[in-house]
Amino acid sequence: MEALNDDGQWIVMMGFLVAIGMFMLAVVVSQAPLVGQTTAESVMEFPKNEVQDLRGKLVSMGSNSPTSTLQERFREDMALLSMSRNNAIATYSIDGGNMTAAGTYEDIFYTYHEIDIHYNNGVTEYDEALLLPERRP
Amino acid sequence: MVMNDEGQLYTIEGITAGVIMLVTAFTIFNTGIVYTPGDAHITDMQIQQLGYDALLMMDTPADSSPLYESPLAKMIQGDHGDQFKYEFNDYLNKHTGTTEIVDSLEYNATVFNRDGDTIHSYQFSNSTMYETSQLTREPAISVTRYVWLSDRPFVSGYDTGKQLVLLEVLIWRR
Repeated sequence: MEALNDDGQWIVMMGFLVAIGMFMLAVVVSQAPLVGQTTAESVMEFPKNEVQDLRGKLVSMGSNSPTSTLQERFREDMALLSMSRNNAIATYSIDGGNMTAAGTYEDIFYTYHEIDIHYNNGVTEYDEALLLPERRP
Repeated sequence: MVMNDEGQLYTIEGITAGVIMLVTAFTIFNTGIVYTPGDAHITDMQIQQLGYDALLMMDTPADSSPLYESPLAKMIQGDHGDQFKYEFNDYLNKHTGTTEIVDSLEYNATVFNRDGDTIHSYQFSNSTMYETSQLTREPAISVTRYVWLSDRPFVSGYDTGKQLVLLEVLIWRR
């Protein structure tokens, strides 16, 4: 066998390095759709908009007496509609068991209603104690 | 016999080539391939957020005092499906003017309301259905919005009085 001709080794090695570099970049690119898919899935799985919707509605309902028929109507509408259409259990209570029309907490300027929101759609469970301020007269 | 140690570079080269081929084959067979981009949830997520945002805009009352009726509530109350169609389409197609929007979203809006322990529903509004969308379309996305009404919806036979109804809109791309 003829002796090895070891000319041009730099050229061979540089070609090798470039090939490896391109391969690494290709791996990165191949991960991109997968990352987009999983990110989009987790965004859709989390019911951000539904929770924000309920929360916004409760803020405008909070100043009504917790025992009023309006609140009863509202609570049952929310519970049944979310169960039948959104596959979620959604309920809330205002001022816990105290049932004080003026609010549970107060300071010099405000009284606060404590609204306990409970939301569970099997994947996401969300509980919040929202303090709704109301300016004292 | 003296070991002939020529050709070592050839051996290393051969091994390297083999490893490269193995790694390539492994990468190809191990890559997650998304066959249909429409099922990739990426566009689904964008349509979903767009729908929620459009409904939020329409459900924002002009007066921020508690329990003030929003434009959306007034539309449901008065059964103005055509008005809803106009405004919802408008919000879906909002753009900055720098890009061209492909106006191919279609939707179907249904109102659900509670009467005692049962849920009633009626079709509220829908987009102009093109024939192509009956043949082939992307999967529909559901967006919902609770709407506070000061009285029952226009359709008769419903509970009267202040109530919460659920507006469900299915959006898809034709």
